[in-house]
Amino acid sequence: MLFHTWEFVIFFSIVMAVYIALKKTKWWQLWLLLVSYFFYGWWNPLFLILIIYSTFVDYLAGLKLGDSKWKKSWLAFSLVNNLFMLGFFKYAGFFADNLRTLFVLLHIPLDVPHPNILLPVGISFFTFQSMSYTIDVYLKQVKIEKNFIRFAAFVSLFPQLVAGPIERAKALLPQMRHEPLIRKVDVSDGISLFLVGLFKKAVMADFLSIYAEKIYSDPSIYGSWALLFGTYAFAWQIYFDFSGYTDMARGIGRMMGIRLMLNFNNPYTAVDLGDFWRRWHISLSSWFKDYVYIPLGGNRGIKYRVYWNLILTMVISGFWHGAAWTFIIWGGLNALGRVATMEVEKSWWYKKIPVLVKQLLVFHFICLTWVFFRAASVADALLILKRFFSGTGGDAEIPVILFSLVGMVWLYQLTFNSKLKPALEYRIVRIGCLVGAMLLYLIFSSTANKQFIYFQF
Amino acid sequence: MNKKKKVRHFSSNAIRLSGRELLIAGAITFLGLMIAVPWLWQKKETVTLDKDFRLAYNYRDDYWTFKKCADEVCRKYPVVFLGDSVIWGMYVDNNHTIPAWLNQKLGTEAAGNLAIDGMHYVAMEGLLKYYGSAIHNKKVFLYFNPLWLNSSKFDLSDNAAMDIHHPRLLPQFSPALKCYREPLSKRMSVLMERNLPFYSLLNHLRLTFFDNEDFNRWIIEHPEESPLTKISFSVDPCEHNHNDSSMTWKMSGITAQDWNWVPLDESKQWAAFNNVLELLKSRNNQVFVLVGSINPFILTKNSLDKYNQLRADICAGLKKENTPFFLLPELPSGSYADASHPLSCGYEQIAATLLQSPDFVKYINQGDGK
Repeated sequence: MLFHTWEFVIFFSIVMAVYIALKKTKWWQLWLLLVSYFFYGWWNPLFLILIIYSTFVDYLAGLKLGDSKWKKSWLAFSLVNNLFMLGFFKYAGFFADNLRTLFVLLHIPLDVPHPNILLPVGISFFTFQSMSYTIDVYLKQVKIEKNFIRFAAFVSLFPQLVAGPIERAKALLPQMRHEPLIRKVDVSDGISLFLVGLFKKAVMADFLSIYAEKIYSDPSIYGSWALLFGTYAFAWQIYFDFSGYTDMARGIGRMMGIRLMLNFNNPYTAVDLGDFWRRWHISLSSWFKDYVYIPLGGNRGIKYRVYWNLILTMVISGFWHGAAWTFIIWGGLNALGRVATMEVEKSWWYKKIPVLVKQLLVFHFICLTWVFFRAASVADALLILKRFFSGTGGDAEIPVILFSLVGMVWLYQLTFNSKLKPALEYRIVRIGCLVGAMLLYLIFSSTANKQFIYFQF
Repeated sequence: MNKKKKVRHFSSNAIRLSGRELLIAGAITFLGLMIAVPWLWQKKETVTLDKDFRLAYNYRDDYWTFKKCADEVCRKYPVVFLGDSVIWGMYVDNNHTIPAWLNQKLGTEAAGNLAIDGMHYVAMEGLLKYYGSAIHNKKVFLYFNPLWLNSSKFDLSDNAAMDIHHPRLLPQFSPALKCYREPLSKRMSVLMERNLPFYSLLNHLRLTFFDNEDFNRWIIEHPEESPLTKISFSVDPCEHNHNDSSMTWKMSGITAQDWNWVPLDESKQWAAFNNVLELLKSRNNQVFVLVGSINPFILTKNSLDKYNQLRADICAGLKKENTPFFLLPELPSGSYADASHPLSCGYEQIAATLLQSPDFVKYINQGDGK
């Protein structure tokens, strides 16, 4: 069930009516759990078995982490269970295919069939959210949740279940321990967030996807300009798609009196790669920072050790996004870029470079990495990069209207991050922006609702 | 020591509106764009009707244009002809349809053609309900094509999912059509189109100027064209590309058909046809029904017997409701292009036959229909 469909409008209307009626009773958490399971089961009821199983294991592990002598074992049990689930459903095909290739290279006469396993939607998100709970309980950063219904509702909370933000137990569970507070301002804030998310997804992302798909479906027939603009289109598409989803998720949460974290903070206005990763998919970046990078040693130790920690964390992050070499290379490239620029960013001359130039440099480096993220294969990605630098030119077939819209959003974001920000806060500007966004939505929203990109992760 | 306060961001933009501001934005969007824009557009847009007008085949799904044309046709002609491709004239030029032949034989511009290809009666009920309000206080000549009752599939009483002509005119929720299987989102968008003229206008623009494509897809496919230069306030909805065919059903190699025919009391199309009659009468129209003739030469003996019984039942039904009608006799074999469409000579014979009917002549001559 996608947020921008009538099915969801009907679902949410019923959910809210009952939720408000029950919020002063003890039943509201059970209602939240039931509707979250209904929402998840809408894709495929079989997925429910997996989420219920995962929830139960981590709930049990959480309880045992409180009073058992075998705390480490219970933590390991929780982690192995979650990672095994992820590995089996998401990566089994990747490992089987690579093993088969390896056997062929080594002339070993063994066939490894590709396991046709259905990837449960959102598995990467809810396993990470659930895992963060057991780790935090182990580290004594969060109280053990003894109420199973509440814990299950935390793992499966429907607004952010399938594509984040990946909330931490310490931020979300306390909100679920008391009656939800829904003020008028929460409703208006929620609607504002939802409408902006709707614009990002249904207008911008879906529009850009048509151009990116056209170019990337057969990159061999395009010259460097088309490939460059196809990559720009994808860079903005994935931003609008994913941040649009999380805006809608945050809006829905806000209307229910639940605050979800900011997940995207205008990442294409970043002035260095570190800044970019503090603005892009913030909930995942901070998850990896807290549970992978810091345990590996983080910024402690010699310079090369720090670099190694960074590279490893970002490669794993790339692999989290998808079971393909293109995602691993994407993570690796981002890591290398980050390592290479860490020292540069500290230099006196880098600080002298105008902000806009830095922003454009960061954007173009990120675009370079998106080529691997979007391309169907490593060979396609290499071909695109080769064309970029060979300057084959050609007709870019640039849709001027589309890129003008992107340009306007980018200018808005630059203004928002500048001293001119107060100008955007005038009532007439805010209302005008929303009316403009709605007009574009009415005109450009496609007759077919498209899935969100991050659902596949 | 200064402890840095952790700031929880509301959002990465300033579009945070209070309840009152949301209401203002909603009102501007709704009143300004959803109501005022289509109203102004409709005032500014002009359609020109040629002699022997019929709605162009490409406009058959553009109900905004149908509405505009209905206005014009009702203004220009005393009698409005409604029906499917038989009245529209599938195999003939504009000047060889039934209304065109009647005009020629009467020597006056009496009959206007508002038929649309594929307009079965379940869809026609929707067409007239939502887009046909201009047809009131008129003489309406309504064609009943028994072909829509030849099987449960055509009758829409089948349970199996299938593609249906004019799905945007069908009842979306009630009464339920089991063969119409569309997701909720699509059904809701149809309801929006019917009730908010802005959506109808968007569909009209897509169909008329943008090759029936979504605007964003059209822009990607035509990167160097401005969509604004494609749009015009002057629309030519007349058919220009249809010529007479001389190919009879025998030449086309149509073989014998053993249609079962749906009994009238079980037929959804017949029920819808009666609703159409009721709707037209409630709008103070004088309705005359022409009960069409299927090509009897393609029917098996068994099917022909059932068909004749069906025709008798149809006439009885119309008589019971005091609806004036004319039962079209069968045409010579060489006048049919297929199972139901006549060739040009067939249409001429129908017009001549009609003008020999005292009921029809009386109907044509009474009042001016304006």
